[in-house]
Amino acid sequence: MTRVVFQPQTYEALKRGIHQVVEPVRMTLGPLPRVVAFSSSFDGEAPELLDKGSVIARRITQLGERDADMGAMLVRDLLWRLHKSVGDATATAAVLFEAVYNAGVHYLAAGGSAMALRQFLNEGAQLVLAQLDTMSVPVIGEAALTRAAAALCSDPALAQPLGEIFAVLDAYGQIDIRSSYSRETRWEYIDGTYWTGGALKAELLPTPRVELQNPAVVMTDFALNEPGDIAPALEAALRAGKRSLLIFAESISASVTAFLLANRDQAGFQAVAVKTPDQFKDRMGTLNDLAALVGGRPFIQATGNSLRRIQSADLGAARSVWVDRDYVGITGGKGDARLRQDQVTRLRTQVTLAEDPDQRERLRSRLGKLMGGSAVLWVGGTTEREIRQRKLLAENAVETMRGIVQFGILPGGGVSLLRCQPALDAWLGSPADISQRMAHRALSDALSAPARAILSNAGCDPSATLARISAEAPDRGYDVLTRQMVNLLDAGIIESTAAYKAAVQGAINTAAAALTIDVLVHTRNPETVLEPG
Amino acid sequence: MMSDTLYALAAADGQLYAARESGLYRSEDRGAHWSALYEPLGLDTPLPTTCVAVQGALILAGVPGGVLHSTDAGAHWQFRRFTTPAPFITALTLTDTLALAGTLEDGVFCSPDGGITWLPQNYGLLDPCVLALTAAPEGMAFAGTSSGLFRSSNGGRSWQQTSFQRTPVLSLAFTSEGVLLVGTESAGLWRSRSQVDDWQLSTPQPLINHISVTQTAAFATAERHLLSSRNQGQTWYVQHGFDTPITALAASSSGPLWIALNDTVHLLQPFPR
Repeated sequence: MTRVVFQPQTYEALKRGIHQVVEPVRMTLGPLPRVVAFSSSFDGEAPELLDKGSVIARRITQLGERDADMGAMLVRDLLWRLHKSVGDATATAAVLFEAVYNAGVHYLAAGGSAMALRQFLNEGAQLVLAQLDTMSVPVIGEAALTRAAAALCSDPALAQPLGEIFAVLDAYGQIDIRSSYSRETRWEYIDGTYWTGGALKAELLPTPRVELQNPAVVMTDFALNEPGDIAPALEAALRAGKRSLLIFAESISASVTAFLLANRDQAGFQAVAVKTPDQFKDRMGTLNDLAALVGGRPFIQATGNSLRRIQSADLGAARSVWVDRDYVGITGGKGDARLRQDQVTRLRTQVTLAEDPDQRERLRSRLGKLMGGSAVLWVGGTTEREIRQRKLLAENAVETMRGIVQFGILPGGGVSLLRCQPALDAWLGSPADISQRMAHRALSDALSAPARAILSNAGCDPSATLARISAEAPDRGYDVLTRQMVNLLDAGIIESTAAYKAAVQGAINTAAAALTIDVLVHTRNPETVLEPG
Repeated sequence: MMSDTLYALAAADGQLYAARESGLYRSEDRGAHWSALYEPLGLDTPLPTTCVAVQGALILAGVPGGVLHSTDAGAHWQFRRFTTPAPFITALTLTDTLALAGTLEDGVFCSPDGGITWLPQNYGLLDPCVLALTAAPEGMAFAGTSSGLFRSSNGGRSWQQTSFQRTPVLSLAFTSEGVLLVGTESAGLWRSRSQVDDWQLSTPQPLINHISVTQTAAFATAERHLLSSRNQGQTWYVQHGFDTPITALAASSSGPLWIALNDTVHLLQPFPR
């Protein structure tokens, strides 16, 4: 049965839902956060203690009140998108969102125009973003990056490798975070490029790890079903003077495996087939990346190519290749360096333009592989649970560090938002439209909301401390740990510019859009559970 | 007089080194007489040496598959093998804190301990064909490749493309004032004071094979011509012309200048009257 909800119930219901998600998240803001306990789904298991805003929001699902749940969904979606794209500042976004929404509702309840308010809120958001840009400070060098990582994750054993890794690999490098299953956290750099998806058939690996020197490379997304599918490639490799072959393919049949093994045993020609990396739409791009790296040309089903017409010039080549059950790596691809540089430039542009976080991440991953090196960080701990938590922490920190390397840092503690207030006041000017005045008021409330939450969580008096902060120099603020006014950047109280800007933009724009919601429609009844008796 | 192929010359502390097809040689009398430095190794066959870098008593020599390393001016040698397959070493550079080796197909190898251990360091080096290397004491390094110039600000651990692309870079050097000189295969000799973007073309000659600098001057070879500059590479003059191409160049801080013609080393006065 469909149910339709109109004003004023709409605003009130959304506010209640938003509050139920934002309030627990607000508690996690700052260096002295409260913790949220989630009951376990399993009997007898201890509750899970969380202090990460996006994860908390994600876990608060299906509020009892369906109208309110739609408000909660708006926040959940915003925070999860931020978590995936920038890895940080989600609690700040939650607090900003609620402040803007609540202030906006007051105005709209008095008969204001939602569309005009939305327009001015978005305009004000752009102003705030521009102000944040002026305050941003670049982070250069290993020492500075390590300090930034330490401020992000409060874990010196993780901060040190992260600082070093980002000093070497910059914003686009491929970084794998793996569980160490020991106490130590260690890291290593891998020369060349590697992909997950090792040998397609274990029989092709006479040892757990096979290394081929100066092999030819075949790149295709075909399934190789008959020996005749791959025989021309072997012949082409032999004509090119090669004694080994790496085959990227979708799959190989038992008969093709037997054919390759027979060639290895009888002719001494070693061939290893590995799974073509990536799936669906990314696969063509990845095959093109491979071709840029090793030369030759990829054979792609969608273009109507056939491996049976392969020539020696179609083969790629590399200085060395390694394959095991899980990974395949290439070192010293012999592709045309200029084509590889062109491909890197293309991918950089695409990463910059990509709006979808998942797509951006996939493109960044492809770009990292083309750069020719990677790092593996093995995260340790004393218990499996600690390792899991530190691994999650490291993964989030890596995303945030990418933004820091590219766009720098801002003074933290909510102070950079407070310092946007004069620019916001200048924007208002006079005389101003009533909707602009309301947008200004909503944004003014919102700009101080994160700092208030941090101070409140730390047991400080927000109003008195904010008054003291406003009298300080722009780069100074209150350190709730030492209870002193400090230079925020020197004290390591920082925010990633990229993450903070994404949080500000996402929160204000989403809240402004949410203010235009007048009607809620429920098209289905919630599922009911029939219990016996 | 040796007649086998001469790959490179290097001058340091009043001594001249020649990397040749038959091995590494040193002259202590400005090139008049030469002594073979690999004699302590007792080799049965000649060991081709493609490049050499010297700093004090430390000598690094590029040989097939790695470098020979001596910390006592060539009295004893250790072979430092690089990763397989064996790379072809094209360039070596040494500073107080850094040793870098460039290779024909495997990019750059970096040694943090004066040439004892070597690791490939190629993140961002999109062209593994390295033709020239130079490094500054503060950790700045440049790699000239077959497709342009790459820059490292962390002692060769990672590399960034510079705006200087699309032309093979054959020779590199820092002047005494830190100006970067870049010799190319077909686009002449360029200089940059910022080492980032203020590139200025300094010579009309398209092909610049070698560059060597002293405290007061810079020298370059353009096929059959020896060029010199006394103003940090701003202006260059043709100092000598020869009938055959110059295949190697080395300048010494104390004054003399050496070139190789037809695999023979010749001593020149840097600025004859």
